[in-house]
Parts: sequence; C-alpha cells; structure tokens
Amino acid sequence: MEWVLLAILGVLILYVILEYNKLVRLRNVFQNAFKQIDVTLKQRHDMIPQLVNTVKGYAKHEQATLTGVIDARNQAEKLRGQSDSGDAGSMLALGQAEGLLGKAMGGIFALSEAYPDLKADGAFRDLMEQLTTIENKVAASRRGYNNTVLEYNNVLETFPTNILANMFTFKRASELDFDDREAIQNAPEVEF
Amino acid sequence: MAEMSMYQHGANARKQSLLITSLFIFSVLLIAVLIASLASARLTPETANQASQIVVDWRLFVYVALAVAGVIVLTSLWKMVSMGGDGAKVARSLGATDVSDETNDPLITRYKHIVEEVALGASMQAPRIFVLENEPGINAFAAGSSPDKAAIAVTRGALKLLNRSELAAVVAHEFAHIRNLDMRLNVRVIGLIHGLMVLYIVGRILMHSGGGGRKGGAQIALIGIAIILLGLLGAFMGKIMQAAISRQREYLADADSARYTGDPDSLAGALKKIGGLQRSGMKEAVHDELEEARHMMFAELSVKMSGLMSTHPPLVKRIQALDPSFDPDNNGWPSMENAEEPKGA
Repeated sequence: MEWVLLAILGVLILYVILEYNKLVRLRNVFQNAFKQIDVTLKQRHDMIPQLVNTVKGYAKHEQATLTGVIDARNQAEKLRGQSDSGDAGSMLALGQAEGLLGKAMGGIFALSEAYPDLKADGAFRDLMEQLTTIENKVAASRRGYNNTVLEYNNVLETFPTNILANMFTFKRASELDFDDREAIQNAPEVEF
Repeated sequence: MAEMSMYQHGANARKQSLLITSLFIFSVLLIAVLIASLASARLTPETANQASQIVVDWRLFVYVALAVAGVIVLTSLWKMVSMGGDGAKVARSLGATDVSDETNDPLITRYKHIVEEVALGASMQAPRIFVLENEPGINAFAAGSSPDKAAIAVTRGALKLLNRSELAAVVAHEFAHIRNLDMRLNVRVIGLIHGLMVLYIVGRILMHSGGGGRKGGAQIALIGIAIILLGLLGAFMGKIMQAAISRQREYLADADSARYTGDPDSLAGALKKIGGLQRSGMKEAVHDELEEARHMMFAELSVKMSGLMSTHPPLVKRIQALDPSFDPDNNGWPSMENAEEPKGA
C-alpha cells in the first residue's frame, strides 16, 4: 500500500517539475520576444538620420516632411530610453510616439513617388529596402511577442497547470495593443 | 487550427514520430520472423508410420532473424544520419547555394531581410539561407532536424515571381516546418522506407543465387521472392503513410505561416501564382535530386501527383483553407504570362 502511495507521489512530483519547467521556458521565450521589440525600434531610430540625408539632396522643398520625421524620431528615441516594460503608461507613450514616427515615415515613402530622380537613385533604392525591412521587423517583433504571450497564457490558464502557476506566482502576461499597428500594416509596398 | 499552439504542433509531431517508430519496429520484427521461418523450416520426408512434419532449425532461425533485422535497422539509421542533422548539408546535397555572404543581388538582399523579419514574427532564430539557382518554378524547402541546425532554400523563380509579402509567407511556411519538427518526422519515415527497399535488393540477390538447382536452391529462391514481396509491400505502405502525414503537416504549416506573418492573403497569393504557373505549362523541377525531397518542398513538384501518394494537399484546397471565396473555375488563377521567361529551363 505504501508503495502505491509513494509511486503516485513520485509521478506527481515529476509532473510538477515538468510543468514548472515548461512555464519557465515559455516565460523566457516571451520575455526574449519583448526585448526583440526594443532591438528593432532601436534599429529603426538608428537608420533614420541616414535616410533623411539621402532624401535631402533630391527633395529640397520637402524640408517640412524631413524635419517632421527627425522630430518624431528624436521624441520616440527619448521615450524608448525611458520606457520600462513593467509600466503600462510608459509603454503606451512609447507606442504613440512610434505611431507618429510611422506616419511621418509614410511621408518619405510618398516622396519617392513625387521625385523620379530619387526613385532611380541606387543608394535610395537600397535605403528603401532597408526601410521596408525595418518597418516589417517592427511589426513582426510585436506579432512575435503577442504570439508567444498567447502561448504562455494558454498554458498558464489551463487546468491543472493554473494551480501550479498560482503556487509559484507565475503571472498572466498581457498582449500589447499597438497604436500604430494600422499605420505599420498599411505601410506602402514599394516596388521598383 | 490557427489557434492551436505551436507547442501542441510540436507535440503532435512527436506523437506521430512515436507512432512511426513503433510501426517500424513492429514491421521489422514481423519481416524478420517471417523470413527466418522460411529459411529455417524443413519438411521431413513422409514415412510409412509418420506424415511429413515441419522441423525448425532454431539456431538458423535466430541467425537469419538477426541478420534481416540488422540489415533493415542499420540501413535505416545510415539514411537517417545522412539525411537528418545538419540542414545546410542537406540543402547543398540538393543543389542549393549558400547565399549568406552574397550582397550584390538586390533579390537576395530582400530575401535575407524577409528571413530576418519572419524570424522575429515566429520568435525563432534565423536559419541558414540557400537559393536553388536554376529552378524557374516557385518552390522552397526546409531541412535540418532541429531549429539550430535548420536551413531554408527558395528557388530563383520564387525570388523573381513572388512579391515581398508572398515570399515572406512562403518563408514563414518553411519556418513552421522547422518549428513543428516536421523534418525529423520525415527523416524517420524516409529511413524506414529505405530500410525496407534494401530488402528488395537482398531478395533479388538471393533469388539469383538460388536458381542453380543445388540442394536447397529452391528454398533460397523462395526466400528471395518472399523478401522482395515483403520489402516492396513495406516500402509501398511506408510511402502511403509518409504522404498522408506529410499532407497533414502541410495544412498545419500553412496555418502557422499565416500566424507568423499575420497575412494569410499573401500565402494564398503565392499558392495561386504556383497554380497559374502550372496552368501556363511552365517546366518545373530541373534538378532530378529534388525528386527525393519532394515531401520537403513548399509545393508538389509535379502536377500529375495526386491521391494517395501525394505528399501535398491539392493546391485548390490549400488556397480555399486560407481564402474561402477562391473559385478556380471563375477566373481564379493569376495569369503568369508576363512572368519573366526563365533561362536554361
């Protein structure tokens, strides 16, 4: 009789260990995905000065568009430096600043239509490819984060793992809703 | 299906792997026992006071059974080792070029960027990237038994004919195969089929050596025929099983692709372009070695493949799973006549 109880206890402990490790692994995955969002935003901010310099030479009359982009970029970069992943308020502010930046950059995509010289320029074409990929990466890293959060929450909230999660204080993670999601998804596709 | 977690997909692949392995062990045992019985059993001559009896030479039985099982298992393992593991090696053996260091071709740069984008969307590390340079059709494959050894290859045709988001959808489909461990599953099935095909060769040798009319020659020839039949039957069943599993994994990879890119329409668009190409009668698959890897490809290599042996669901069904309004008869396929005529096709 004791043997049976011991065996059941052993299986239970094994189950707890496996589930605990699964939760830790999934939490690491979504936390890493969160860092990736920051990495891509930084890449986006870093390439904007170069982009503006290239466009400047061709589109002198578009100073307003370019200044707008630079301003939005500086504001977003400042908020990125201050943002704290645990604080919903600062995340929201950053999201809004990135949204404005996304819209301002849409203006540069539109410029390439108005200035044929610009469109024909090889350096600008390379830059547009860089720009397209960085915009896609910003959107993709957010989607990746939300996908991994969903996966973590699904495991966390499913019985009987939810009991374990409570015992070891695993918290539900929240998916991020991005203000500029629409702007990013509607980023014009540039075909040469 | 789209809501199903990535983790569960992986778990399903593991379950199917387990099923395959058990089926494999069972069929190896069955075949070994059957052949060993044939080899070791003798009919005693009929005498006045006794009808003929079956006498089994047990030592011979054990030797033959071990030899048969050993040949099948070793061949399978060898095939698994040579096919699995390092995805880059598999990609090269299929004629793909490593483009990691290529920087001058804008199409390749775009492709590299797309792989990085999809890696973020799937929260996976980026695999090694390859191009099948001389393939004018639209296709792609993934190789490698685990995410850190994975490689992805797309055809030159896919780079040329797909737009940015369509190519991303195709790349994401291959990412899903990597994530769901589909290659590992496939490698096991291929190993199994290969092991059974070896029986066919052994059987042929035995049949020829047994034809000389020596003592016991007839029995050896008989065993040869049995081995050939069992090997062929096993390989045939294995191929049907492989195709059935592969078709299921394709649907899952399509669903995951849509989740990684958030863009099912582009995946449907890529599939429609493949259909358009097939209808315009463009020659596909220049490389014969790709035939061996047809289960790994994004789309079926040959249009004629259908039914039980097909490793992919019909194109129309895959598109309709993503875009229910798709109707192939009502001007559904895009015209690919403006597509660049590939060189060297």
